[in-house]
Amino acid sequence: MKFSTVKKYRRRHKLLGALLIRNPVLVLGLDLPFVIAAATSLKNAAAMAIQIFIIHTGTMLVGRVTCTKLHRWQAIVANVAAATFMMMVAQVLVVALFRGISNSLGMYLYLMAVNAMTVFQSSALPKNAKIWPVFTGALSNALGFALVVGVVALIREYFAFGSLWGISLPVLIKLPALAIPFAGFMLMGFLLAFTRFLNKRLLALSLLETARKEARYTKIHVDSVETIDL
Amino acid sequence: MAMFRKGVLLAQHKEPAFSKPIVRFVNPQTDRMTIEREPPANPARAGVSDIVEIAQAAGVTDERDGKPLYKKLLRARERAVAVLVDAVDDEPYVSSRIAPLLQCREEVLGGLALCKQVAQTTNISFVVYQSITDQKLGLPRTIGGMPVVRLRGAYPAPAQSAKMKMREEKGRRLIVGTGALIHLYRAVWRAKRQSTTFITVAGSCVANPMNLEVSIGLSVDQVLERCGLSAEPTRVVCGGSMTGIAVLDRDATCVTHTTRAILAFRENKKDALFSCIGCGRCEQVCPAGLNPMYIHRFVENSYYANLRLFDAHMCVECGTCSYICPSRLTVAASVAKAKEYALCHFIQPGEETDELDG
Amino acid sequence: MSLTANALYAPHIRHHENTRTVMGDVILVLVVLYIMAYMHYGLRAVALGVWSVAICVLADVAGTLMRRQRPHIRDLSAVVTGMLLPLMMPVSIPYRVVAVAAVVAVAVAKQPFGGVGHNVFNPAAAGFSFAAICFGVQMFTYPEPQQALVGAAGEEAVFLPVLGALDFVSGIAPTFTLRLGAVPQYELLDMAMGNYPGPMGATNILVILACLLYLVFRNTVRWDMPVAFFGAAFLFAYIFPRSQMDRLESVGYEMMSGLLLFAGVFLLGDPVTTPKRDLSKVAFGAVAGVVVMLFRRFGNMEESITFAILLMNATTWGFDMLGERVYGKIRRHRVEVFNSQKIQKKA
Repeated sequence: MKFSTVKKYRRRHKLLGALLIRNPVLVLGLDLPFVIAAATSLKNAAAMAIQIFIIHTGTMLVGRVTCTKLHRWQAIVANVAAATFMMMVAQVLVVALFRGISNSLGMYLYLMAVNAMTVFQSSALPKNAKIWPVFTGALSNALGFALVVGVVALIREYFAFGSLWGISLPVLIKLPALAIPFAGFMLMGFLLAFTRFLNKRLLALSLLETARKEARYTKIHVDSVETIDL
Repeated sequence: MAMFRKGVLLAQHKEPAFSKPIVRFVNPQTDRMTIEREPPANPARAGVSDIVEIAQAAGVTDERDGKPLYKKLLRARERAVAVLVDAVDDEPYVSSRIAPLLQCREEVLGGLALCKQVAQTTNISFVVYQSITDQKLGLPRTIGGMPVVRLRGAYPAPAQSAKMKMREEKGRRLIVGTGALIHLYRAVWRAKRQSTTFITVAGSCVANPMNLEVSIGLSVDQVLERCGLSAEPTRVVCGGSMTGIAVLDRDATCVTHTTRAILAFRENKKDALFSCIGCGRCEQVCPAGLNPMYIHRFVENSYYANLRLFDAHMCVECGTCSYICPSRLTVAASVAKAKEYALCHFIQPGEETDELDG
Repeated sequence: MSLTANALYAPHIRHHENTRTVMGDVILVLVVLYIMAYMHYGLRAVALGVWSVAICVLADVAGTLMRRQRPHIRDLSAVVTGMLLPLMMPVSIPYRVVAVAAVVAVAVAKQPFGGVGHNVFNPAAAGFSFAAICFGVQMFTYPEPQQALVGAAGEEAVFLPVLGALDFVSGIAPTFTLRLGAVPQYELLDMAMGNYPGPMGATNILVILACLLYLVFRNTVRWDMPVAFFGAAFLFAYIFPRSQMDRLESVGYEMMSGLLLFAGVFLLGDPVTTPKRDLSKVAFGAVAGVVVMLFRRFGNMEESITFAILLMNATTWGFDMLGERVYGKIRRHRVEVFNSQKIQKKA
């Protein structure tokens, strides 16, 4: 697969691309510790999703300003400070919504302030980025993260504890070892492989579609037909 | 299998070819070729320059490396302190150096006397290989009053010779093969050009394994027909069983000066090529102390970045790693590839070494 | 690569040993252990083994097909993993636990890392560890051996049923008592014979030692690693005994209880996941011995050797590279010595 083709394909799917093709966790490999260690129940996942929406969107908007006005290193510092402020706001909201969340999330509640996705993407904005694409990009990245965290937490909570959102459900076999980070790593590995598989299929389909479109407008000229006498 | 040593003990399979008399299978026209030069009046007292000129005119070639004998004689003229006759046959099935030594003894001793004249030394010895599993070979302790040095131990034999005292005189020894001596003798005493070479024809598919004196230029097919095939071989090898080259076109491949053997095998195809199981046996037997398993993996994945650490240029190309591999992988070929890469990219000339060369 | 490609490359003769004979040796030795387990615990032991092998082989084939390669069941590595797993568990283990362990061992710890010969972690150790975390109670409840060898009381042995509900008397395993710091109730000689509750295959100490000798003789396991491992564990247990008794006796109990001997022979004898160089093997074995004893002393679980082995598997690459550097220096030193001699002679 040529890299230029892949780039062209990726550029075309900027908005919803963050869900699958440029998923920040599954394709770019950002924010992995939250998925591996902290995504063990749906409540945790929901709390982290709310946090990431607030922190990431806010910091990206701040970053649009700081990247234009300040030097690179100053922008990073300012962005992290802004992210920390957002985290404080988000944490108040999350603690109010979910009881006992600071116990179950532990330090990952506060670590969200310096999550890799926010720090990297907010400091890498070009100087004259437009606000609306920045906003929608931030939203879709956060949505991508929330999706992954939700899926992983769903699997882990169901098979490890036999419950979903704290409600006990019948389960075929309970495997409490899925709650430990090692199982999180393995699960992430499988998800990454599956995502790669899906992306390749999607890319192949899209290439096929493009080829068909081009073929419709191309005529093949046949000058002469030669036969070979055997 | 050796617990403390490197190398691997191979069953030699030299019989029945070894005990049979050497048969001549020659092209009558080339066999009659002579040198266009006046033969010396008294060959027993031929002068040094005479011997060298005759060797050059007859085209006598050392079958160990294909280099002309007269050049070696010239180099040895001033400086040699020892003469070694290389009759080492450490690969299984092959006995084309030791058999002429034992069966054409007079010719060998005659040629050796001529070399002694050139080198002006009395330190002469024969080097043979006898592994512990082959006690029936019956090699003499002296031949013509000169000692026979035995290399023992596992294949590859040069690994053992490096430990012996031969190291002291490296660079000032004249090392010749038995075939070269025989042809030198014939050139001086009978004015014959070298047109033949001694080879072993053996293997599981050969009906009459034997040692032959074959005209150079005959095809592999003709030689095999002479000895008879008892089954259709899947693999015909020109060279030793461990280091030879597989022959793809038997009609077009000819016997040359340096062919040691023609072997025909039929193998069991049920031993399919599995993947590497990481057993590490190749690393245990490598006589150069390399790690063929990792080299093979790196080469398979074209990961040449860290190959410097593994010193692939020190490979002596004995083939023991492939021999021992339970998954029948071509480890030796990968190490050879890595060696080539290392010699092109990493190693400066002068740094390379073939230190185990006896 | 097809065989025709192989036909071009030297050497043209091969050693008679192939992958099947290498694995076959290990399987032979494990069959002996299964026979011992059958004599102690009845048919259920063998049934668990068959079940585990079947699941491992299926998972292996599925994984290999997913990696788009041709599955070679004949290389027998999945069979070895399948046979190892139940021998580390008590005979009263439910079938689904063994199934979970087998699936995790092959489909999670072996296939995603590259399959046969390329896995980083020992599959049997990984499967056992996963099951130990999930089903802790069932994994460490050891029934008394239903039929003691050498010195049986003479009554009719009642074996556990192959299928169906289990009703048994669980014994107190020496690992449990040692963890509490007390003296186990079984005599050392009894323990050597295998007449004490423990994992199915790991109680027959003398048989395992004989298996080790056989494997070393057949060169499937090099002698460096077990000697270093057991030596280091012995020293550690001697210097820091866990219970208040005579030091040598304590060491005897320590070495014979639980999975130490079994894992030292079979899990550390897996050539894929342990270093290849002789020097690396010795260093690895010594460090592994110390780590295992530390896990025993400070660990939470009754039997933590598989976790220690997984930890050491992660460092195999490091040990191999260190060994390579050391051997590289030795090689270059040899070359320098040789070259300097050459120069001296030429001068």
